[in-house]
Amino acid sequence: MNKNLRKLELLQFVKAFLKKEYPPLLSKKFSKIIMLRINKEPIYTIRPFLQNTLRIASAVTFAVVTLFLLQSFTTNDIEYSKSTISNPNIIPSKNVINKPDECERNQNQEIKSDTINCK
Amino acid sequence: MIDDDKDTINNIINGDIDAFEIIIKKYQLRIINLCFKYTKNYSDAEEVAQEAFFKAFSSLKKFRFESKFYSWLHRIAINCSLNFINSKEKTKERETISENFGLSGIDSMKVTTLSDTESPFDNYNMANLAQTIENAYEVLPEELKLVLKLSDIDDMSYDEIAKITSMPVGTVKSRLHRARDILVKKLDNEIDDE
Repeated sequence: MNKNLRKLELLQFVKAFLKKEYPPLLSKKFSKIIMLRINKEPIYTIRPFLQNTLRIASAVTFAVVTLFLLQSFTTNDIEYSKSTISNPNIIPSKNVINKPDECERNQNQEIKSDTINCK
Repeated sequence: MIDDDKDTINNIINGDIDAFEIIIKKYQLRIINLCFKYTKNYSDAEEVAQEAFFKAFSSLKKFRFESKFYSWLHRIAINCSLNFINSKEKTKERETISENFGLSGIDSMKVTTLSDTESPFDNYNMANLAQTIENAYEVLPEELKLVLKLSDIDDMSYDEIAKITSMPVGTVKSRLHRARDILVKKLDNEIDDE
């Protein structure tokens, strides 16, 4: 056993004996059994570098995916003007068939419906 | 809050797993003794204490240094002891039901035989070692005995001892070191002779 570890163990024995607070027995292999168990089960082994790297990588991935989703959901065709819109009441246009020559011919005729049929 | 174990714990978290043995050596007696108060049985107490240390290691990263490490370990040990008692009571209930239905308690027999296989040489006889220390303490020079009593029995700080004894803190430290050294050497020889 490491000399310092042995000294630490004996010092704790002395303190416990002076305070009269000690169990009736102590297995000589008590710490070894725990250390064996800790080393046997790699799931409990702490690997800070790997864990931190994974944590950062997952955070970055999450941030990129969230940004992409937000951007695709918020994009629309509205164009914003820097100046105030002076004429907000836009007169609705009439439906016309795209035949300009015939329309010109019927220009002076009476309009009977919303839709002008240029015959 | 200052914690003596902070450096050791940081070393463990940073990958020096073997440093956890320092924690075990430092607190094993207090934790086993605490578990013994609940289990009333030494082999159970040791088993529960091992579980407590193991759980503490597994969740060491959750320790935020907001309290002393020993207080945290103490709480884990109490929880483990209570869990053990609850599970033991449930096992007893099952055994009673089994006995009522004419089944034998094979599992409980196995536990008994396992603890029976342990040799007395595998354990420290704490009562004998304690007697050695008590004897050695009695024959210490009075000035060393006083400092040791105030520090290790009454849990006073160096400053408090210095005030009470009207000694400089440095003298308190050196006397305490000498007293502990004498007892540790005595104990070391006793364990080697066992």
